Amino acid sequence: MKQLILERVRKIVSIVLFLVGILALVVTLSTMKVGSFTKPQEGFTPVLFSILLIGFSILNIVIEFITPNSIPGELKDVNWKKFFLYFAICIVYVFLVKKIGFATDTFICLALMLKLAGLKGWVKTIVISLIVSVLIWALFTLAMGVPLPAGILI
Amino acid sequence: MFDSLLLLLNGFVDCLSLMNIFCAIVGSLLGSLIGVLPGLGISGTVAILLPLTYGMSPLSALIMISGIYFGSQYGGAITSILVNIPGEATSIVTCFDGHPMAREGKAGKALCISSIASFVGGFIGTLGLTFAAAALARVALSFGKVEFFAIVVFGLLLLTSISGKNQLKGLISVALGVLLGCVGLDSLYGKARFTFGIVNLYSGIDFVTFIMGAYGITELLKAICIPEEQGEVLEFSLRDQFPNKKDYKECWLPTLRASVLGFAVGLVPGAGSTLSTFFAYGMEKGLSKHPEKFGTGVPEGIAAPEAANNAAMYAGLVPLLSLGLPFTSSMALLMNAFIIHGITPGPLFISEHPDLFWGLIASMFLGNIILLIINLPFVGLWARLLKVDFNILMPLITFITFAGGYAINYSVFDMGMMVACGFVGFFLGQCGYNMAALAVGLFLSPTFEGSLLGTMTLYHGDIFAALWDRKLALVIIILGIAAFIFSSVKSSRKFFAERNAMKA
Repeated sequence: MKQLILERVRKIVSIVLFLVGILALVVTLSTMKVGSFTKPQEGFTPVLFSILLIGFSILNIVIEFITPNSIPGELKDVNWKKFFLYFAICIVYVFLVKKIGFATDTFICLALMLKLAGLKGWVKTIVISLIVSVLIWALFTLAMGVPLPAGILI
Repeated sequence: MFDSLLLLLNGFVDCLSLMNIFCAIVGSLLGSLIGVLPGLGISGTVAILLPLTYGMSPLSALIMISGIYFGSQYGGAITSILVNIPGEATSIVTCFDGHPMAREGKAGKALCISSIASFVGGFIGTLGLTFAAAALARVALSFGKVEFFAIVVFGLLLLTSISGKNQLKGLISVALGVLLGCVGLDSLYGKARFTFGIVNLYSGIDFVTFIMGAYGITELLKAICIPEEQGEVLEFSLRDQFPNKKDYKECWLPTLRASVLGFAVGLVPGAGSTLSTFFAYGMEKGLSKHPEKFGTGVPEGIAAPEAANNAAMYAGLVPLLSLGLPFTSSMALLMNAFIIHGITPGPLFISEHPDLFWGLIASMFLGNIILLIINLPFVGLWARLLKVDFNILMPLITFITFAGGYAINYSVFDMGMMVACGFVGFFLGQCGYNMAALAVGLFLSPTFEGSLLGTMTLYHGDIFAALWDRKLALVIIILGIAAFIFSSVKSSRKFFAERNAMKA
């Protein structure tokens, strides 16, 4: 199944891009004024480029479908478990940063990401996470004056 | 000429303050340090370190950003030579002779040749930039919306023709980039576009956020999720570091030639530094009395690409400073950094802010010298950095990137946008879409829209009449289309040949 999806990623992406073009065109036509060639309005450029995107995408889909299936780029080497966990940590991080504060959130998520990246030993992981999260917080807050989200902790 | 020299001297006076020298040193060190790490790339490096310059004076900030920018270029060569992994795409060619030379036990010498050639390339590039940018800016003062429209179209067409393997995917990337650039309040009419009621989208997709995601997060993700050998770092001693007379004799002419060639190639929108290294290497191999030795560790094989890529990087600043039009993602990022500090490059930049322009040029000369001085003694340190476990480094850089992403607009939404751009950028990049074209399309979208709509309003919707009226614009557009057609025909032939081969 995984192999099947990977071999078709190029086709899937080309269809997604086509759909993005369609969506952009529909949104433009329903929410913006396009104007005319002599008096273009705010929707003129979006319409022009969504039509271009749709046109190029159709051509691209045809080419992708006549090209034999193969896994593109480095996708065959990707560790997908790590890939989705990396994004999951990133999403959780962004979601929690305002709630529990930058330093705490960084400490927790960095520890998880270090383990994900293959760092051995929990003590080492926790010590590195603690030092780095405090250092980043200090660099941005104290040295650069950036008010990082504080949350309930720091 | 004499006026320029006086202004340059003034620039030196401005940039030779203790604070500015400190900024140049810190920028160069940080740039070299991150340039050494394979994968992150120049755009990612500048984007991540950009927040460090917030709160500085414009000139100090420009000096630091330039230091980071050119430092990362220097750093890229170190991994090429010592590990055979190019730190940047511009250092790929340096691997060809740099690593074999290091394997022969002459790593120090190879690094030294690379540093000196980079210095010469940078010096000649700065000289070229000084004269070319000022001259082009003078010409550009007479440009109207039609010429700017033509130059943007020309640049985007060339960018899709030269920098990517697939022109169609390049065009899709540009179209997507321009559409993404339309998100937010429209600059001409003040109407919201593609905001879907999300307040954070009213100011549009922040370019630095996009670069941090599509380049930074994507590369970090690859480093963590794609198992790769870290590579054996070759040992070297500082004693064997300096080239001898024979090396200098073999390298001086190739270095000069490659610098000039690199600068010329770098002036072509979209060609960038990477292409210049291949051209310079090919030229030197063609001119050499012993071409068969190329690839086995000849000093010219290191000097030529390193000189070319540095000169080409300075050439990329010519359209940026004189027209306000960047044609590579890293140049667009640099322009964004200028704008953050209240400076808008363009035809009027040099005449309205001569202090900043000449200060920047002077700082480039200064930065180049600093890079040469700090790179030689620090080479050992950079080499040791390559032995640090990337499993530790990459997660750390991920969270510094997050903090940097937040610092742009103090927005958590931007952090989320960064993750989204990283995810989308990863798949688009893997499927062969031209991320540079997407980034430049996004950045130039407002300029393109302004010049297109301005031209149409001015000429009552008749673009052809506009081009016929402004002959220079017509010539520029024709050149762009010709280059695009030529490149498309070439790549279609290649596509069908490859397809037939795969079927067979």
